[in-house]
Amino acid sequence: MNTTILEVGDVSKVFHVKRAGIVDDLVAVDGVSFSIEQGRCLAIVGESGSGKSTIARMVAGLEKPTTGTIVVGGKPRGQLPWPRADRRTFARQVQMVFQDPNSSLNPSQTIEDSLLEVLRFHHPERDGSWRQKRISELLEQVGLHERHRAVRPRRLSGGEKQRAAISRALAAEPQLLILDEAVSALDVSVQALVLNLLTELRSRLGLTYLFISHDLGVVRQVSDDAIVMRQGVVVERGATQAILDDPEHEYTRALQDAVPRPGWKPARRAL
Amino acid sequence: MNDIRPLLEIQNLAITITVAREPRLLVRDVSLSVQAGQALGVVGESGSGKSLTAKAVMRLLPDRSQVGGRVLVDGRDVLSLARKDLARLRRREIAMIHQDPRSAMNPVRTIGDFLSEGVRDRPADERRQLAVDALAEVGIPDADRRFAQYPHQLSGGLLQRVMIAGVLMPGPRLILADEPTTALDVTTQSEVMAVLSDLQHRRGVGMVFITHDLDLAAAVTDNLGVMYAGSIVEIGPTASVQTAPLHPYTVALMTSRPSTTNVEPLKTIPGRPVAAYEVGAGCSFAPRCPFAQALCREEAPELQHIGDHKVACHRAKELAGHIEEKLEVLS
Amino acid sequence: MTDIAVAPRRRTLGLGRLASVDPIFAVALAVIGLLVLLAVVGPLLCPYGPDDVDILNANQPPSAVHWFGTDALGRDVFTRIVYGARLSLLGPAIVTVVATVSGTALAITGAWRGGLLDRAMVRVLDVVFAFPALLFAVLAVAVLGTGLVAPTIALSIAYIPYITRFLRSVAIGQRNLPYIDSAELLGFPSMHVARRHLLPNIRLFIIAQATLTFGYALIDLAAISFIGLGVQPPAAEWGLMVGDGAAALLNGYPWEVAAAGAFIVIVVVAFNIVGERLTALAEARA
Repeated sequence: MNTTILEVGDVSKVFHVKRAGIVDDLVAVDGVSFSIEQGRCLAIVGESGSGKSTIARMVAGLEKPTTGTIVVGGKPRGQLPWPRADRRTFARQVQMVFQDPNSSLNPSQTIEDSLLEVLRFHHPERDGSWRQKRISELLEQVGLHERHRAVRPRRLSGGEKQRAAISRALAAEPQLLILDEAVSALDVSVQALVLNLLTELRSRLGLTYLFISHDLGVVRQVSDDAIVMRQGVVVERGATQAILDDPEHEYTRALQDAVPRPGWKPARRAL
Repeated sequence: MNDIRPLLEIQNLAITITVAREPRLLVRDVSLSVQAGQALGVVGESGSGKSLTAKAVMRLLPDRSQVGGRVLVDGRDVLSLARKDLARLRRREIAMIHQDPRSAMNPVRTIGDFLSEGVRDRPADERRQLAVDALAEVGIPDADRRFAQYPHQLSGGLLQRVMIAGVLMPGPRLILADEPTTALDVTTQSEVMAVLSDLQHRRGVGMVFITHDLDLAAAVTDNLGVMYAGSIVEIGPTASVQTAPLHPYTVALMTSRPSTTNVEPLKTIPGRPVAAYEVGAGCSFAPRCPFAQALCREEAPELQHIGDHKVACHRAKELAGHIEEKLEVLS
Repeated sequence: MTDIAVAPRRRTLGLGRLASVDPIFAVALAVIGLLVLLAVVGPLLCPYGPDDVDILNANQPPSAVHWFGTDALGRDVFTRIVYGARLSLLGPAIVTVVATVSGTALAITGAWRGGLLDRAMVRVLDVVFAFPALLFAVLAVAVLGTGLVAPTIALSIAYIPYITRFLRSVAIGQRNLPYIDSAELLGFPSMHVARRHLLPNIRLFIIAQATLTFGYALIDLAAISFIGLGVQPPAAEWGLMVGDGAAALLNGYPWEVAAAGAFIVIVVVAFNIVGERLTALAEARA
């Protein structure tokens, strides 16, 4: 039976920006609603200024929505800082993998320690040998090896760092995993490996993804459904393949047209 | 066949950079040429050495580097030019467009100031007219307003157009574009590339276009070269490299890219792209190549002619045309 | 896109490697090492005591028996330098520890909490900044009397804003990075994240600041002793010796001033070099 993992209800985010003494209102997200069912992947596609990253941060709890509701697994989502009693609960709801592999891992922590830290916090009732087994399991799941255990992030390549970040997010066994441009900073050949990994993990472990990206090809590859955002507003939504094969909104069409592919030529638009 | 001397000719370029007392080979024996009016795409991932190769053309390399080979612009070797001639080359004959226009422009000078930098030796009214024309060429009509603006007031795409206008004003004969649109949104990228390609054709200047995006390079170039671990693994006319790639790495680059029109499991290769100094004996791609044999691991292949392009692969002839299907089987 | 060719895989550039690549750094480290050695075992090398007065041999130039000559009271300058090392280093050490620990705690608190607390703290620090450290030390002596205690307390407080200001901006830079967000999202309590994630990654900056602080404290404390408000005679302390030797200098006997002054300068320069290099290393790694 499908349960709704994430329900975003009419969420808006307004930033108050002080510029030369005057306070300006920047509407980053304007009345966005969507939901994700268990086991599915929803992509939020958009370019810079679309608000897609802000939504991701609000669902994660790193930003507070100005208005609207965010419900994960039937429970409302709280923003950081969380009250003591709720920390484990909220951490188990949503986890996030960030864009920059170079700054999303603690540089002075080995991979093993970073996983141990999560396991100790979330499973204090378990013993050391369980933790060691679980770490091996997590590493294997993301395609890392035992030799990566005692290594610090600076020794790893971009792809390996992202895998480590994914494994740490999965260590908390979240109901929803947010991938915020998680493959955008990787080389093409490495990106393909990580995309394959994410797809495989989702089917193997029954995960639910919220996938943020500007790259239509990546979005098609990895998501079931998508919403297209432009300047804070949803302009199109539906099954990914349907939207991309037959876009209804002109912005979606413009995005499609702008992606380089065999036979493509860049088109000049009047300013 | 063209007997005309190429505008740019790189012969056996090798670059080693010293980091923390250790020499690191980053570009290994690169040779390529660009005719006047033609565009050459250089495609590669991290560590391929593509950026350094472009920088070498203007001798914009860090102090702690050793460079071998020759870089001939119109027959003159840039690497042994006197300072004054080099300065002239950089100011008038070659234009470089960087990935981030904001770091190449002084944030406290106006757009107008920036544009007049390259043509300081002309009289004032001529400078102004040149600037107005240049902005119009890149699709910016309201020149007067723009002259008074500062870089931070313009969006990334607009600023990149201004950059293109600025570097083209002195009338260079060769453009080096190093990932000029990587930091831009895809719709903006399309516009900026259209402007750049348009200008390149209209003015008949040569261009070296560096990018990690093979399809993007293919859209605006006549010839296409693919670099891996500091050397060229495949190079030839764009159409044939794109439609009939001969090197397993080129094929892998193309099959790794998810398409916007259909979903298939991505045919990938294991490992990660490496730099020249990380490579042992034999073919630099052998550790990741699903077709590698004993010979590949012992002996580095030379670029050889197959059809109308050149490939550095021992098994190219044998695998020709069948690489993709074999990759699918192996994935 | 990480272009690993231009920013190659960084190996652990530990202090050992830095020393081998940077000879000036290595020399500075060696000087500090020798100094510590001198302070600890130096007295074993001295045939005289620091208070052995010998008026008949006053103001002797350096010789085989008196390596740095003698002062106006015939005391062996070398011995007094060696014994003086202990006092000259003790004060700065205390100042460094107190100021660094307090400064770090304030910096992290401000960077972590942000908001009103942080802004208020910055304002308070601005006020303390307004007081020149030396003046503060002189005031402390006026209130608490001469000796090492008053200036040490004063400088410990006066240096805090410098350290806090620097470390706070470093901490803010780290605090906004995704790995801190990650740690918070995983549910770890604030204190834990600040201690286990933020602090280790600014450790090198902290050490660099401490090193620089030591150098400043040494100069300032020597200056206080020089003007007679710090360590009192007949104790051996470098700043005091420069003061004491001033009269002899005017009479044509410069060795006490030269020796004490040279040691102060050399040691402070060494600490400055090490502190500055460590800061550069920390910034390169960041």
